[in-house]
Amino acid sequence: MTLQSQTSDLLPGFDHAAFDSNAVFRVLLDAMSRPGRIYDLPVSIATPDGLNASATATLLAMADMDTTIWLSPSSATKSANDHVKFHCGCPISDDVAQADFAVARIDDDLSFITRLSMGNAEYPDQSATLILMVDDITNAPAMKLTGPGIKDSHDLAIKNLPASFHTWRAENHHMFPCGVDVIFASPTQISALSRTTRIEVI
Amino acid sequence: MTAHTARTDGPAQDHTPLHQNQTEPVDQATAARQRWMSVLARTPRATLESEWTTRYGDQNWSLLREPQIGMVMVRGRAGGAGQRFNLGEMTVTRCAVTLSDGTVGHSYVKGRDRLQAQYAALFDAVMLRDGSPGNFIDHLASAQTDAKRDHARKVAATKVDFFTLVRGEDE
Repeated sequence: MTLQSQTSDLLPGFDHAAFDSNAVFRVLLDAMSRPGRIYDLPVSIATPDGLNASATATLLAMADMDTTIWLSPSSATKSANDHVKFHCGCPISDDVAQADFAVARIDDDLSFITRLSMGNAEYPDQSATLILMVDDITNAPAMKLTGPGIKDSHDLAIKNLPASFHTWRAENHHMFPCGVDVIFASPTQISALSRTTRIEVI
Repeated sequence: MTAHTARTDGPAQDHTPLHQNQTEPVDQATAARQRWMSVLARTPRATLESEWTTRYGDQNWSLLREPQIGMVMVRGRAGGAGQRFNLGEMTVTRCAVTLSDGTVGHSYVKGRDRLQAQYAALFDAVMLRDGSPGNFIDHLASAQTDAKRDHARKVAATKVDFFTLVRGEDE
């Protein structure tokens, strides 16, 4: 470790660590308990290359030294790695099966999602959470969501969501109480799918 | 007994625990930085604040990590084998700042004084940028050594030798 490497392009984290991470946590909690509802990101935050604002805020609010992060090859830039390591102090793994939070872009090769940790019967909470960076989230009727947290049904549309995602979700749904939760992170908005949400593609 | 702080998180290069100092040689630049960081961490906030205002008041900088208060476990060594034990936890405040040219300064100081941590990090950053600690650190270090010596002298004056007690070696 030479002293020169201290001079890097590190970006600041939350402006007010306590209030901002609380606000983001609240939004994530609401989003996860009301699957398919779209929430605005409550803070503005510096974003490293490879990540978007919602994904960065989610990681800063949720990740710490006890959670392992996996970044997809296209999002694992040096700047993103440094940013997450500095502000969260969390381990970053190359092995997607180790991840508590996996971050990927919607246009990445998503074949890794079948290797995400599902938890086990004793500890279903040890499953991974997938943070999927997307361009746009709308309430257009592309998917019809039903399940806990949704009164009747809820429409959600994610641009460029591949068919393989739905195949995986269907298998994931059958694994209950195990299974992976998904957070869709557009640059300004957040929406989530819990493992219990049923998806009907319209 | 040697006591040092065992850090629970954060970048590992800031402080090297004493037991590593004895086995792993550190390069000169790191040793110099360790010295100025340790001197800065012991300097009261008022001194740091007034020195910063007079010397570097016109610098542009921003907070990278706002001053955060946390705990570290202090470990000691005892016994003939120098076995480690946890002495107790203490409060520390850490801070990271960046100057306008991107130089990053870190600080870890004892106690809960956020401003002291911030100014210590700022001085660390300008000293890294300039590549040398300057006479400021020497001045502070000698003041700290004097204060320590004064204290030691006052304590030594109150030393009592209990030589009337039977210690067992006369028999």
